[in-house]
Amino acid sequence: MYLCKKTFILIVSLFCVVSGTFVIMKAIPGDPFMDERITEEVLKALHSYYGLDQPLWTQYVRYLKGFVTLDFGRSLVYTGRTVYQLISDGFPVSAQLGLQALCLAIPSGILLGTWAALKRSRWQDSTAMVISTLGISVPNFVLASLLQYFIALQLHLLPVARWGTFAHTILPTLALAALPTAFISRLTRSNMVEVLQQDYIRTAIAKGLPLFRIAIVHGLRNAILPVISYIGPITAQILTGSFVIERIFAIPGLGEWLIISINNRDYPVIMGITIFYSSLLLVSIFLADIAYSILDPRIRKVHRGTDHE
Amino acid sequence: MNELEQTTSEIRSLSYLEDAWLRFKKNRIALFCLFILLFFCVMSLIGPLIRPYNYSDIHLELKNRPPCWEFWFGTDDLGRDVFCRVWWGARISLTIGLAAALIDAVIGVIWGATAAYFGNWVDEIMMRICDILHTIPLLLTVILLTVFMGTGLKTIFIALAINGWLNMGRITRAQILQIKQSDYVTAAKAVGASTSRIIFRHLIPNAMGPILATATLTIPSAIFTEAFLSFLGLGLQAPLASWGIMINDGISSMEFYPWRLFFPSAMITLTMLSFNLVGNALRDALDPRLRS
Repeated sequence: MYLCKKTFILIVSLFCVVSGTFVIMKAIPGDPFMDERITEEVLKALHSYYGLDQPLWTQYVRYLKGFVTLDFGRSLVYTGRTVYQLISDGFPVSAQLGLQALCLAIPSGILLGTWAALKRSRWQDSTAMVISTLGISVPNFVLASLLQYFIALQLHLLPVARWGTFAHTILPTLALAALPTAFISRLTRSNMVEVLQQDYIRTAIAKGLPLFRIAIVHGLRNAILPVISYIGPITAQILTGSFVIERIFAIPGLGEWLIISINNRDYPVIMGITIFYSSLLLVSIFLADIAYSILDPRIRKVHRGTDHE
Repeated sequence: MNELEQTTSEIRSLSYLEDAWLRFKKNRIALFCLFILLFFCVMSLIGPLIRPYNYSDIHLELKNRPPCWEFWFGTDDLGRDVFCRVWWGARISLTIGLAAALIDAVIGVIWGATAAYFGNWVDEIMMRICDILHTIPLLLTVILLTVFMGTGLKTIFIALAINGWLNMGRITRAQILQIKQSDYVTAAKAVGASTSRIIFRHLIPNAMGPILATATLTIPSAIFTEAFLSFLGLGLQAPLASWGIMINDGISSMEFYPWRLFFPSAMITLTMLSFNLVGNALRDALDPRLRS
């Protein structure tokens, strides 16, 4: 039942995103080939090349078919290149950056949150919470530019920009990981504080087990669950963060392509990347929900779209 | 909450706010942040007026001056006064933040309250719509709208209104459901209190805390969204002095003219930090469970 509902929501959301993108793109006034120098015949040829002379309904069906077969059409600006090529060029770079940021953010966020919860209301707690509040409050493009200014330009410790060696990835990863780290640490802290007040933890304390062991064995297992259910928003944070980080560090990723294509009004590319990102996000939310329901059977009964925060 | 409190609801609702204020005041950092925000509000109104320059006046002979007595925060590559521009940016950001919070609160509260009030299938449908909207990331909505409607303030507002209220809707609904089932509301109904009395005396004061705190925490994210879009060139356009635009301009020349990056960066960071801290403090202060 739970799985059915989630699958249904996934499919409806995907359909909404795909159709919404199509409707918006078709509703834009004007034509991508509006240019006084273009003659009637050329315009006609261009329209039939891109399939724009077909009736709307046919275009829509073709577009849906294309979505299923990962064929998003051709770029209007970079002639000869398909959207699929652009995605397969840019995405590996973005994915590497995103995964590195995730690999940094999840452990450090959980550690920071657990530490704060164990030392609740002491200076360690306030320090951890100051760090996480800063992580949430400093916009990622500000953090990225400050890192670039102080560490790369002033101290010459790491490369300023571009993509290549591992050293190039350090600053972008740090800048991208800051927000999810802060987010995860707050989530972990509040869950951990709650878990630590449970009876079975008190029993463990009464039995004289060391606090560290209790936190790891009993506490963390329960406190980590909500973090899994938040994988969706965390993925969204990393995706949107990558747009600015890739621009600041001149990284040839997919986010940078999206911004370029928006400025170029390269509609098929915008549509393709938007749909690609949305699907990625929807699937990650879906998988997180499934993982959560497997790990915590309680959820199938109680889950009613409530907010855990 | 018990019957005793219910009979003295009038006194209680007053003392609840007083109590909340007392607890808020104890949080020194949040109080300090509140003063910063008030200062920013005042300065965003008078800041551009106290210097003899305009945010968009171009003086090429005065370009890239470092901060000095004449130009407190220096000038940018077109000789515009950074001090004036920073406060103009504050005006834009604060307007967007407050307006977004208001829009989200109105839509979210109405949506959540309707779902909670009617319950059953109405609730089910309304919450499923929320679930679906929730999976569509704000930024992709904004980008599509930007392509469709062009850049500008209107686009940002519509995009923020489309799925900014979801959180508020859920929180309102959860609050109202919880209060609706509570003993004191049942008791009030049993002694014959009218629906309007229950709504105004019980539902609204009790649901107010989380709603207010959520609205406060909406402000920094709205400010961030605007700056983020303007930074990417998808939001407001020059010569408007949005912080995002200023930071984007500042990055390209930070090696030689770092003040052009630092002042707007510091402003947006301080503003978002203050709103976050005030919002968190409000949430704690308004939580009836934490009352002493």
